[in-house]
Amino acid sequence: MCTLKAFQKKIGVNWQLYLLFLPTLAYFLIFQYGPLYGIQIAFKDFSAVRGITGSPWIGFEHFERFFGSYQFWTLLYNTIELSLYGLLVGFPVPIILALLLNQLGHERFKRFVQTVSYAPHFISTVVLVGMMFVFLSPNSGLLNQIIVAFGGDPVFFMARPEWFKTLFVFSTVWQSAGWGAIIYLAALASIDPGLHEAARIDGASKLQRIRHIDLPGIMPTIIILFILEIGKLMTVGFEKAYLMQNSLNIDSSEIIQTYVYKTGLLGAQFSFSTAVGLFDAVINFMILILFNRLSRRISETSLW
Amino acid sequence: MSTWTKKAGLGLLAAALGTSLLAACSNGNNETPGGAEAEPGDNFNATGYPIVDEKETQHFVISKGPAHGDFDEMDTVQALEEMTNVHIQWEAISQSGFDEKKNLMFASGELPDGFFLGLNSQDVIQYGQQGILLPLEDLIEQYAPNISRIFEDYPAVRQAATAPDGHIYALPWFEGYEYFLYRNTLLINKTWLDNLGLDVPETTEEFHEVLKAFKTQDPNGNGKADEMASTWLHNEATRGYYELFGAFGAVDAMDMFSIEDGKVRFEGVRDEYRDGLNYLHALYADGLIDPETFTQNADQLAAKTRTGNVGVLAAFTGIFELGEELLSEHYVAVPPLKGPNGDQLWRRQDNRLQQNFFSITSENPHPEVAIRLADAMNETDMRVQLHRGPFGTHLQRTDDGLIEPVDPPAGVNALEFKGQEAPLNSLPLLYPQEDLDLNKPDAPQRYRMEFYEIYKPYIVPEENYFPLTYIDEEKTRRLAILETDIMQYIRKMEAKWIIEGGADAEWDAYLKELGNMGLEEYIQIHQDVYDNLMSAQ
Repeated sequence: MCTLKAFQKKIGVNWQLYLLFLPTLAYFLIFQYGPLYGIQIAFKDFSAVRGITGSPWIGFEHFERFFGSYQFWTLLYNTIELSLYGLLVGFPVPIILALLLNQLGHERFKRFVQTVSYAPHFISTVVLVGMMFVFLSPNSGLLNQIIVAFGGDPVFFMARPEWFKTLFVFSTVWQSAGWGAIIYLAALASIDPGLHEAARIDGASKLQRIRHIDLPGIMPTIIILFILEIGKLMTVGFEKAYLMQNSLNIDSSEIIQTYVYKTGLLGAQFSFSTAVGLFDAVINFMILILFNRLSRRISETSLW
Repeated sequence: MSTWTKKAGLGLLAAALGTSLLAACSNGNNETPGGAEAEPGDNFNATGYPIVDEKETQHFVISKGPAHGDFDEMDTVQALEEMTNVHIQWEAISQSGFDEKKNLMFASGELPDGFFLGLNSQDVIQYGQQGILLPLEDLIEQYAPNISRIFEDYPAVRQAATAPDGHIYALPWFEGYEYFLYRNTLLINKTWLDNLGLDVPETTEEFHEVLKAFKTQDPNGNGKADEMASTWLHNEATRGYYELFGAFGAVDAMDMFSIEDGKVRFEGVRDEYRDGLNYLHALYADGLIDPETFTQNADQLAAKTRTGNVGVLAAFTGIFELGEELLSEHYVAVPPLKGPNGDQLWRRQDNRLQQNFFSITSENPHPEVAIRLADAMNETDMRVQLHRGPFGTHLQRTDDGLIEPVDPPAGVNALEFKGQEAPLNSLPLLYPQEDLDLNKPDAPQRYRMEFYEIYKPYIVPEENYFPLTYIDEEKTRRLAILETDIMQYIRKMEAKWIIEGGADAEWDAYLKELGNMGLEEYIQIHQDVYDNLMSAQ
């Protein structure tokens, strides 16, 4: 009772802040937590007439079907490989870019590079994949014309399973590195210039200053962003994988998200695809908790 | 900042599904099967036109094709409304996003009054048996004399429209021209053949030689080796390379099922199919097949073929792919090639009759109005106009009473010209033979008739063709599960073997893998379906 009163008093004092917070809370309740109720169809034989609550329970049948399916190991392997590859290549690039940009003395050149590097962020995925098809075409693509001009044989990049993941990851890097560097630049800007000055007087080189001042300065930001990335590890860009997919590269391009889309929304097997999606989410959730705990122990930075 | 909660909470898609399904619980428990039982009101006329005295609106979903204009603006649609006094509220969804939107409609229970073209057989059976789509047979008998007459005169039409439980949940499309018996015409650049002094190839061997000559001997005479020998589509019936397998004795390399002595046979595991793959690989290895065959779509293919710099392509008529000028001046049809063992087959694909062009949902308050609307579309003059455009601007009557198409203005694509004013082949139109006989063929039809005569003797006979039929819900579900894995694997291996070769070496592993995926059950279900169908006849 007492605590409730204290709580009420607190609200009374800061009511404007709570009012500002309200839309966000409502958003999460309605659009993020509310739909969780639909998860139950993963354990049901959903039919549209009976609705979510009316459909009969069937236990883990859909999960068993997925685990036993021919596709299971390929899907899991592709999803994990693509995620890790994307994380290992994609995560450091914006940091390096930000560190380099931060060292640039020439203000106008710095701004120019920054603008050029984050412009691709505004290209839609559909257009990006379209560009890839054009540039990498075996008949008329720019890259293959260069290869042929140097006496090589044209490579049909978009159709080779072994190229799919590299193309996927590096096109994402091209598109998002500049944008991702912004947050690190902000963190770098908050580092006390006095430290740099002192280091310079002590005779530290640029590289040494990056290593001993800049990097430790933005380390908390890096760790938080890394954990956030881990949080969406298993949710690889669905749109892009789907758009880049074809019969020839399906071996490495079929990931859990594209499979869920195909069976669920195109094939109308709602229960089954919900089960697959849920499996994906649970794994992801476990990885997130694990990393958060690890990070708290090692670096004392964590999400909660 | 919020991303982790979101993703960790639930996969993005599951969330999306969940949101839309939320709505289902409010609507979904509604037990009333719609207005099927309700008595038609005073407003409704059981015979004669208009169908309703006071204007009524029916909300219909339709799959919008690339050639369609705005349905509300179409002259023929307005004429239909004038005649029937029923206003159709069109929800036109483009083909590429159709399946997704349609599935969400059913899952959320937010249904229209009915569907024109767009549902697939699985939907029709599943939602029909669940009561979301109404059985139409009584309505047809009571209110639809035109459709009833077709069903009486053409029992095959009625049979193809009937579900295994005996109900009719969807009306088909029926246009009985014989030239709909096969899909692709194999077109070759005759000018190039003449420039090189070659004849139209007759065997697979000669075909290979001709393509090689196209590639290497500069048939367009510009001094550069810029010719494309051939371009196709992979995993598509129209513009695909699947007819070529007939020269090796494979009956249907597209749909994979055939009938031999009453037994269902799966073509994808036959040596004949493998021989075809090896042949295509030989072509590919010599650079005679466009590598983009495996990734391009119809528009991208047409962009290449319309330049006229392609030696060989497969097409329904070639009008879309080449344009009439190129087609008439430079290209001719290649008769079915003779294979090394003397096989000479052309894949059958019977499109005279197509399922699922009209369904009524349980949400429809006046199903009797809807069925009369479908019947009104099948009045002789109305039908041809809804299909081919209005009299005056698009059609005219000749002196001997035939209906003749008006040429589109110069530079306008014939299909788009029609699609501005007519819904084309997206409505439940069923032609009796005497009405087809009224049509004077237009240019595409004339080409098609001419091509059909060439292929006719070689088209796979009807008794070897897996017939058009509905499959009951339980089997459909099982098939959906099996088919995803099996067909995806087959297409993947097909593409791989054509590009890299190795079909012979990997064949046994391939058969074993298909076995693991449940191929036997997949075939057995088709056998059961076929047996049921035969015993019902």
